[in-house]
Amino acid sequence: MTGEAQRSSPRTASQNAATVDAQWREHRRWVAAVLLAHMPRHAELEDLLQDVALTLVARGHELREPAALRGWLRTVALNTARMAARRVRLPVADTAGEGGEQLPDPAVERRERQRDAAAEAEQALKLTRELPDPYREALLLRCVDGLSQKQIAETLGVPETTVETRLARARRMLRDKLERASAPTAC
Amino acid sequence: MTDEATFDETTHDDDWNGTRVDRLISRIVDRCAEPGDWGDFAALAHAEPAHWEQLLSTLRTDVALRGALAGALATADEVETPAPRLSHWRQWTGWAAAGLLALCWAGSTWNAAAPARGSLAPSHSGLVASQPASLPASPVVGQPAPGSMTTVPGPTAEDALAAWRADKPIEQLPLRLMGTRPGPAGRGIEVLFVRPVVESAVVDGVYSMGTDELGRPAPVPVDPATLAAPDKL
Repeated sequence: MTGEAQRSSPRTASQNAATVDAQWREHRRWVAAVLLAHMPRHAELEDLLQDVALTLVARGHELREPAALRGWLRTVALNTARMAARRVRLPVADTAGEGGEQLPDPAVERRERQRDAAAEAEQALKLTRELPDPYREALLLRCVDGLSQKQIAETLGVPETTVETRLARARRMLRDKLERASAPTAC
Repeated sequence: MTDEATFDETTHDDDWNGTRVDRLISRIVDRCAEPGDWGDFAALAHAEPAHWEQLLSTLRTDVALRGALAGALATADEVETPAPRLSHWRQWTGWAAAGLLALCWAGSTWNAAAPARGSLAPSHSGLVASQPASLPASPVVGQPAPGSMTTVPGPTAEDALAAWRADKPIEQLPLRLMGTRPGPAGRGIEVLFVRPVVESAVVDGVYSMGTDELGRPAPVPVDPATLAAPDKL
């Protein structure tokens, strides 16, 4: 009854907006990880994040149990990513820089190191995207700072031990893929 | 050895016992290895040194993946919730509440406050009292009468309110109730009211619209002393 009374208590629009804003700030990082795990490559992460935020503002108040917010947000993120996958991909001109200006040696070295790190990160993400859905999502969620295995388990709606297993399997799969990718191809 | 157990991606998680070393590596990478885990891994790696390479590779990939995700998380930090849009019903409820408040407040205070506030009682007669007695009581919009001050398109009501909130030298006067009628779709009460906002502007001179010797409309300088003083507001 108390909970019912709290739910039915009048709240001003500004209070609701502040609550939704706080919820979004708390969850938006792992929502980004979920979107990244499921969205198509041509989609813009920022656009999808805004779609999820819009849904939270428009329909978040329909949630009766605050504890269900995490699972509900994940479902919204999944649907948003799937909707993006259905949209037609528009051709994008490749505007990658061609022949940048000559930089001093230290700057060139630093830039090359950054480029190597970026390439390694890109390859890791590319191979992660090739993992089966449950492993990909668990692994990306684990990369969000501050998100514990327990919170990941709540988000995915699975036991904590399952999350641990998925992480171990995902890392093993990723390691195998990296080894295969770096192995010289036989002629 | 269990370490070399065949890895099958299709095996269900509950059925996958996995290799002990895979679980240990995962815990170490996650910084959640317990003291016993470290000892176990050291023993396994002592027997099979390739496990060190596996740990190194997994750590490196984890760092790379976190680097790849950093951009996405930074993007997420930039995305804020859009301003909520109120439903029509809520909008009208808000206006009705504001109007009823104004009605109650006006009924109890206007009569007493009007004399104290000088010439700006909530009526045309009060407003016009600050102008020369020869002027018409209610000039028609779009047809400036002789002696009336020429108005220049000013900021919108929203701008004025924003400026007012920013502590600009303007003031909001009491709401003026215009009327009420049943709300849309028969729900609530629609209250019509005017929200007067006092604005200020610095100008080089004040003119009224008069007529020249041929009877054509022409600006005529006005003595500011004859206009309403701010303290009369």
